[in-house]
Amino acid sequence: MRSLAIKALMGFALLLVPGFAFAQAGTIAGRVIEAGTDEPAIGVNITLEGTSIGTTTDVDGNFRFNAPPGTYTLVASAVGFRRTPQPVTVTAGATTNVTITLEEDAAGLDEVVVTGYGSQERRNLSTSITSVNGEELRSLPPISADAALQGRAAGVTVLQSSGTPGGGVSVRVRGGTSVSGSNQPLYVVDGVPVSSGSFAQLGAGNQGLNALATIDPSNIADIQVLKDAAATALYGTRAANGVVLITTRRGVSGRTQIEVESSFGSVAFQQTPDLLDANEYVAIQRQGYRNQALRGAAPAYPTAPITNSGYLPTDTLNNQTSDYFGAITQTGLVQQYKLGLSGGNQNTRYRVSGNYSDEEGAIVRSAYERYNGQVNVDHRWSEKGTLFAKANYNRGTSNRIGNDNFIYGILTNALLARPDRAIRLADGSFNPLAAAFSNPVSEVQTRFSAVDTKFLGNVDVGYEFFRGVTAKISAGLDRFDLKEDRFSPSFTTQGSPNGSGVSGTTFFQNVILTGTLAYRPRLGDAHDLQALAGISQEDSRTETISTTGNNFPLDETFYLQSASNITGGATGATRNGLRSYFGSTDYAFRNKYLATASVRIDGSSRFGSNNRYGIFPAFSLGWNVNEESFLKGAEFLDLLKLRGSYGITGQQEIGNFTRLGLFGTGGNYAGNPTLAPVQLANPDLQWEETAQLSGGLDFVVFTGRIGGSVDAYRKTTNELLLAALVPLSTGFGAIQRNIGTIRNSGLEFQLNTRNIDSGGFRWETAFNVATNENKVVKLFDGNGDGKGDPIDAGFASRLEEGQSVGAFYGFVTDGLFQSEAEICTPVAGEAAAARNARCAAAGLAFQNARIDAQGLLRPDGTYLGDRRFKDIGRFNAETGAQEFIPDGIINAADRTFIGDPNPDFFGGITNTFTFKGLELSGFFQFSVGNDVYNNSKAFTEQSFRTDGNLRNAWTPENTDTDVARVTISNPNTNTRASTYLVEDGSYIRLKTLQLAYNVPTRFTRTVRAEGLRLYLVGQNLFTSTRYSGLDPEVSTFDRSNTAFGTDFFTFPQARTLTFGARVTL
Amino acid sequence: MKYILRTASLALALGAVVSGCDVLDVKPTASVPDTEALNSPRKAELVISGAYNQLQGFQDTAVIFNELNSDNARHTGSFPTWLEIDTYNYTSANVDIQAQWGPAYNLINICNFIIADVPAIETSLAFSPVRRREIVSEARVLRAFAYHHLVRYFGDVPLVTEPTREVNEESYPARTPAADVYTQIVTDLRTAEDSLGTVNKVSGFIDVWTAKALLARVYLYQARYADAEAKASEVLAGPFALAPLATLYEGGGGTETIFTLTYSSTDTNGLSFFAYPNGGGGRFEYAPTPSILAAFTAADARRPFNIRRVGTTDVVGKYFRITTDDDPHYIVRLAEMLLTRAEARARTGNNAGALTDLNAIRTRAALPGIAATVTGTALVDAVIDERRLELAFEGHRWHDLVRTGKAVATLSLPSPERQLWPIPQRDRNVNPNLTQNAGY
Repeated sequence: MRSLAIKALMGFALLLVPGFAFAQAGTIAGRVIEAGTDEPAIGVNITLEGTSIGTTTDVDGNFRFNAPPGTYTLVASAVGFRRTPQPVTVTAGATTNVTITLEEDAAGLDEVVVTGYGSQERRNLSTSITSVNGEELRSLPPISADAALQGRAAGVTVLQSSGTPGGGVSVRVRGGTSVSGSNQPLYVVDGVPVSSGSFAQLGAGNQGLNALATIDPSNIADIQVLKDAAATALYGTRAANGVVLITTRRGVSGRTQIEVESSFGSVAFQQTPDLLDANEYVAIQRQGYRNQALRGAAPAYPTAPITNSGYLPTDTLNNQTSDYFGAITQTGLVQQYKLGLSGGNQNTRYRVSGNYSDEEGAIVRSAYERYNGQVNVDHRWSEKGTLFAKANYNRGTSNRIGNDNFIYGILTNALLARPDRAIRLADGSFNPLAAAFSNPVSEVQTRFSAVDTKFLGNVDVGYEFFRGVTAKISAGLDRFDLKEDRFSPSFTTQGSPNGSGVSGTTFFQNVILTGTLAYRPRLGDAHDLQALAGISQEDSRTETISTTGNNFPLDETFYLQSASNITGGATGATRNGLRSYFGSTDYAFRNKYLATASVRIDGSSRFGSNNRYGIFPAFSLGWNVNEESFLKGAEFLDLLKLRGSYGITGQQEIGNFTRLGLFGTGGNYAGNPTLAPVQLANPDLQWEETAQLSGGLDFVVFTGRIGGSVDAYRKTTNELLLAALVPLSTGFGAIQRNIGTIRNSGLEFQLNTRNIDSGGFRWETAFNVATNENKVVKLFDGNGDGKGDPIDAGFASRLEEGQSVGAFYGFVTDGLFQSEAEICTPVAGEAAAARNARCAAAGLAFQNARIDAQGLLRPDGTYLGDRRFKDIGRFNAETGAQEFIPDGIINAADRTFIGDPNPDFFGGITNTFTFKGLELSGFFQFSVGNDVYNNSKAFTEQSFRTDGNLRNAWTPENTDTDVARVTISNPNTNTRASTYLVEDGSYIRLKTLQLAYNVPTRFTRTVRAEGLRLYLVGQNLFTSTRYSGLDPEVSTFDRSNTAFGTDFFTFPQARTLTFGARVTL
Repeated sequence: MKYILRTASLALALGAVVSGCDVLDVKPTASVPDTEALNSPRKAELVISGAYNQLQGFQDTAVIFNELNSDNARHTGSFPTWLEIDTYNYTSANVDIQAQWGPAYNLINICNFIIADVPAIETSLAFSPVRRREIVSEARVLRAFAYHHLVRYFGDVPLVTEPTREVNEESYPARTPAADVYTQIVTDLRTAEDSLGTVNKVSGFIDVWTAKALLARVYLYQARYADAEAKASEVLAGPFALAPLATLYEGGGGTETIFTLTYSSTDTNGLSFFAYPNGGGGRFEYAPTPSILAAFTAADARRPFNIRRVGTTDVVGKYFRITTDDDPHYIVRLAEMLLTRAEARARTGNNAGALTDLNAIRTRAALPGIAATVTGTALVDAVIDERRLELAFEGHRWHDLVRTGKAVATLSLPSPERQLWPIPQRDRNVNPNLTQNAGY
């Protein structure tokens, strides 16, 4: 059936051909110049209002096109200029000449904003859309398109999970709406929804990849972030997390323009961890054994050095400290080369670009290399027919680094390694005992690559059937092959003894077919109406192959064909489909009263048989108050707009087959295949549904000197897909059901000012700040007590009704035990209940104290210097419910909420100074009030005892400290999730500092260049934070919806410095 | 006319796009609907394999946690939940304790499906009534094994004997007294024993001898010493013999095997991975305690198989296939039957018989026999001490200490209630009928 659909589409395209019939037409020709300078205005859109007839100006500002005879309004529009309409009459067989002078549009109100399946002038937008100009992203070091949004759009949180190149980026528009699905926005590139996310088969700790790393920011013309429901609802069941529309750069007709750019620079970490040196380390271990040694009748903590040779560190380096961190880090080289050609004539424009970037990481061997080629062609095949074709090919090679929650992790081991052991043995080979789990300096030699070969293309054919009615058919393809290989050489722990390898390939393909009918009649000056109806279908398939093997002959023969033992292999495939119907109308009355309404109906193969189709309506209203007569006198007011919207959107990342009851395969016993129950059915399964109410105000005053907007929103997400836990005694864990509710509400503020603009000196500021309050309203209530059951995630994150998503949950610390009287001491043979009651009466709580035969406290149980936790709760004996009544024992009932990784507010500020050709811009990005759960500290301070903090550990002589006593076996579990590990992660970071010089054209022309720009860019130059770890911007669980803001040996963001030049010929 | 043509072509094209009906009708390719899961002989075989596979899923850690809980192994790694088990500091939130509860019930559910549905599958030339009965009996033995696992760690537990086809009121059971759970275990084992015939299967599969041996074990836990002795004697009279230690530990078990879970390089377990040091390819999460290092005397021929030295570190050496991670896991073997009978005999006054069995084990270990002067409680203690060494790191010690009332003193437990693990809070949260053990 699908192939029939394609055939029919092609048939439709052919049927359009008779429409070619050229009537006897006239010609419009002319030139567009910029006011003031009389320079030619290049790439200006010229259209006849109410039709799709038009063209763009070439590099000399000229244009020429044919049109049927009649009277029209000719409109010239370009970014940064006022929209300029003027009447024109076309006579059959004659040429009408026009000259148009464009005025600068300082207020940006005439700018045409892509709105998804259509466009609208900013003045008449009644929805909430934030734009990012691609020019801002052009000279940055190689980054992904989503990372480039960081700090530039109010209400959009962007978090780079890890400082490794090509790694994951988490983007949230107005807060996360989902627990089990996706919280990432839908990305639409030139009208085609594209895959985002990780797709990685091989884990690097919990870190993944980024499918959007293949989109080169230097190809981007602009990015629109659709935030409110009226803007996004046209994307239906994928719109709940916002939609990011990316438009790539198009060609300019006329003489061929060539743009060559190259930049290079370096990348390195600015942070160094504070670790013990070899002597300190040995002393601290001794202290640990001493602290735990059974005391017998002797006084606690013997003072003599312990020489328990069975346990003590051996083969020490004697006063020499191994610098593992130094050995795994480097100063990497970053280089980029870009070539762009653009040109064409009045009917055809093209832009061809090729980019190459090679970014070494700050970690040895880590790198991201990218080749990107793109062709964009705009063609007008008749006065009524248009064609757009795009082909983008991208190959990104990421040299990955195993890290984070991974025993072969590089940073993990570098921070936990014993500094007293040599990295290499005397014979030059790697010391296998050199680290906590494995030697990071050998492990970093693991060949761990991911090659993502992506093709993204589409062909759009448009035809104006009747005046004002345009049909468009679009076929898009998003296709990639992700090939991942990891080979651990024989000298690594993971590869010992003869090397081990794994190879995984993922094929992804999404075919998108869309047909739309757009209607924009000419209704006179008072009315502006646009209507759209469309259908679309997507068919998405993912196939995977994976193979593992070991016992390789040599480390140089690292493909699995050389492995003598193939230990595993599997292939798999999955698929999902989406069929949609949608329509929308936009109406403006005298540019004063604005309204939109839209609806989308989405059917998905993922939805249960009882809920196949979802309906997603939305509407918005706007009022340009400044157009009212009572404000006509307020000359300073360029724009004052009030707007409001309401709509419903969905989220369909609920798994392809979650709706079915299943017996699964894939197991193996004694060589026999297996079948076993894995999932209970839910025929009612549906999308998660978000209702968003949003309102805002836009203002521009003093001819664009000051502009800004304020937005407020409330998003309520119902039908959250949650695991409805069932007792494990059923043999199942849960049924996936639509049960939960999350609410996000927030305020966004954006301000753009031109502070100084005189004598050629200009100072502009762009500032945005937003708050988002996120609250879990309803979760699955398994025990029927009227309150949803909490859900634990990550190391210390918990979802509970009334709390923010991702809030940290754990014990509350109350200093350290300073005397035996503070410890709840058991009595031999006493039942726990009696002991607890006795201790509670004394205001104490049992942790894990143990006594010896003499009834004395054993130091290998809870003892002096251990962390004391607050006894705040108990479990109700009848129901098991937590009650906040102390009960004399520290147990799971004493946990409570101890932190929140969600910031109180976040945003960015950019100051740009220009003087003649000089430009200086500084972009700060900030996040305030977010907590970080520092799980690394639990390991460096306790389990492996390498942390510099231990110099200040509790001893009988050093009691005024918050670092617990050193022990080897941690009998009191001092490292449990507690307030001690939660830190303030607020930060402000100088994300980008750029100094550029545009060499005056009179000089460049002497070398036949139209332009030359030289620039210096620094990224992550400076961070101000009180966080004690390496970087507060971390997420060891990558894009996790529920466990974020957790640091667990996550690579920090590195500092990049690049120098570059761009030549325009 | 032209307009009609254009309109018609447009309608046709748009209609064609949406008439493609297959994008919404997508079927999984790695699983089958639950309604079609047990409707053929082939699927009966697949599901019983699934049951063995499920047992593999939690038995390696079940063994390790038993040893950590006992005086045989200490925690040397970085998992905080393992540390809690080693130090008796566990809470009801311990996810690894939960991971010994849930997977056991997964196994029970698979067995319940087999016991309920397989008898309805029609027999044929290729699927004999004997084979059909055998599959059901294997499921009964596995279910009994799973319940014995649960009742020893958790005490009273919910007793579920019907498969879960949907969630309803019966999905929220209260705890059944341990004695009643034992009754069900014995019923299952005896039913299986009666219908399994006399075939001695290859080691990886359950046969009548497995049912008998597990019965002997269960009777010992129930203090039914005469029954334990009788059942152990039946097994000892069967087709088994003590194997040389090298065959037993490094050659797959030989003649001593009654039921061993088998693994391969593509179907691995974590027994050696968690035992071996970081430099030796493992993660070193558990290691022998000084106490057991001392208990294995230099003369003990079992020591080199139980304790291995990697670099300067003494590691649990029973599981040493660190490159392939496919160490077999002894569920029940003949030595246990000898020691079971020895203990049963010692407890019922048959000191001479007890000594014969006990010294058979000691002789193989190249140790001198226990003198005939040792009798009564001292003899029972000698058997328990021998069990510790003979069955070291095989998942017996903690249960033996608890069963014999020695745990509190031997291990300096913080309180006697720590002899039972807490019922996972996760299940108490969703099942209000589930009570907690005392002391949590």
